[in-house]
Amino acid sequence: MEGIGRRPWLPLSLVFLVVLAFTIAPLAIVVINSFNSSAYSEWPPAGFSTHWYLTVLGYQPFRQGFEISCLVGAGATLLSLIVGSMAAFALVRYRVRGQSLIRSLYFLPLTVPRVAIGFALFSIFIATHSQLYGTLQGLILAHALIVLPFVTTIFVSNLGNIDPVFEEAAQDLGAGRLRVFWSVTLPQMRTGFVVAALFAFITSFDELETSIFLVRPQTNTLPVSMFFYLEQQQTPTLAALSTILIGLAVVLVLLALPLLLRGGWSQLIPIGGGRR
Amino acid sequence: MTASGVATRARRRARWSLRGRARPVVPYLLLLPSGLVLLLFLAALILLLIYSFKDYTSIVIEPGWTIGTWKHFLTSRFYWSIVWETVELGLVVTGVTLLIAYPTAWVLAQIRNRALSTICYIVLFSPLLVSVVVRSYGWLLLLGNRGLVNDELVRLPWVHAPIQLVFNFTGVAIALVHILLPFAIFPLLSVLRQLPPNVREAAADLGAPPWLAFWRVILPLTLPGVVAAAQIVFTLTVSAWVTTVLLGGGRVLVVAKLVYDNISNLNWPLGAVESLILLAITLVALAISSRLSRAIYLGREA
Repeated sequence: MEGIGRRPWLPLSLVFLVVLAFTIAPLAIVVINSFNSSAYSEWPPAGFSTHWYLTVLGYQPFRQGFEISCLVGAGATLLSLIVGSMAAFALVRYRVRGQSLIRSLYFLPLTVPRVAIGFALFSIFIATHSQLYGTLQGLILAHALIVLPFVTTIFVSNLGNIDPVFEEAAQDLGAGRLRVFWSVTLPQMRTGFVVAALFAFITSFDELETSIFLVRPQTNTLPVSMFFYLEQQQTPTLAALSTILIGLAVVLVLLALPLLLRGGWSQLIPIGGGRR
Repeated sequence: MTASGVATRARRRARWSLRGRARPVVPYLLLLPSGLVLLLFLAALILLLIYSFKDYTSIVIEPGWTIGTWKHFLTSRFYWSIVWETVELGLVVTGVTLLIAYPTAWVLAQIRNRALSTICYIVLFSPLLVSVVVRSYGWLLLLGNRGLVNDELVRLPWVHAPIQLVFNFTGVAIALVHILLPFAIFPLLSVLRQLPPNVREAAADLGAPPWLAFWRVILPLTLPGVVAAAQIVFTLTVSAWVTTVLLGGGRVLVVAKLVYDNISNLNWPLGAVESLILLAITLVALAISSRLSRAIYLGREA
């Protein structure tokens, strides 16, 4: 009579706990190592020290990288949100010729490896003498392109879940098309904007494989600087920086949590199964 | 189900209400800005194709056309071994990730306590918020010869010296499994959650032992999620560059690494060929997975 595993079966629960530990382990070791007084990053830590945090704050490439990454992240988020929401509105609320072709075109950047995107953009920036190579504008364009498939999908499902009855009502009451969009559609897209913005900013902030082809030393983003640093040395300075970044991510999660818990968000996440 | 129902109804109504009133240029104007971004991307890919047919002599790209670079790549045993190593890494990482992700998604789908499930979600998906460089660095610290894992391993009676876990295939594979795990859990979770809860009870009532119920009923029902997860993990693994470089320490050669190395050496034509080969690998994987999902779908209809 007992249903099989109404509750997860004990060995499975143990596997689950091991997976949770596996997921956390590399992040936990980074945090622990940031307080390691030895420069050689050995286990067990030699002693406690906060020395590396001071080193990070004084290390010019990381400070510059943080600034560049924030600027590029903000620019790419803004650009992708504007063009992505416009495209989604056209795809959901209008009948467009070649709808399915256009939709698959929007997914293209997702299927091309990041390294190939990086090289392709690098070569076109150079070949067209566009002055975009090594500039913030070039990086913003590249990152906006990378997040565009996600952002557009988030807005498409967001708009698909909004009943146009309110828009019709506003139209019937005499509001113009722009007025309807501004005061009826847009407020209802709030959740979509928050989720898309978070997604776009985080993806851009952490992007490395495309950026590394497009930067010059004076426009190195934070991940690029971290990558070059890690290729050279493994002192806990990087652990201290990583800990700060993990801390920022935790703050971000805590800020977004009330919104995410309100529900409906999981429909907006673009990596659902079988829908593509 | 209901969401897509609302969506189609909403769309139908939107078309009805806008018909006649809408000027047909409006949607195309709305698509224009993002279309320009995509156009730049397409142009860049075409330029890549052009470069792959250019001759290259010491930094200078020659004006004529040649298939020399393609021939050089495709007839070389060295390059094919790298293509194979890339695919092998993809297959190993995909297999291991699925084996871990399936039970994880299973348990996650069963947790009824809301607070507990929220915590588990945060733990499992939060690594996505942290840069791949940080996660790779964490694995370097854990797996290094003087890291925590080897510190524990050498205590075992049959382990006499630290086991080499970084700067080789093993280290790269472990770190990639970790990095890609959330991408596999997500699609699996969405199919497992759609599974009617009485399916297992029905199988049990008909006398099937749990393993048989899993093998004959549950696994086939969740296969679309498995295919989706495999596709995402495989394509992301073969194109992974940062982790292979950091954990591989230059000793694990994959196509993505070749691309970067050749661009650094300013050999654009070869870099272009390698980029396109890499793209071809991911496209083949996409084609196979869409074949598989169609076969599953048709098998169900029959």
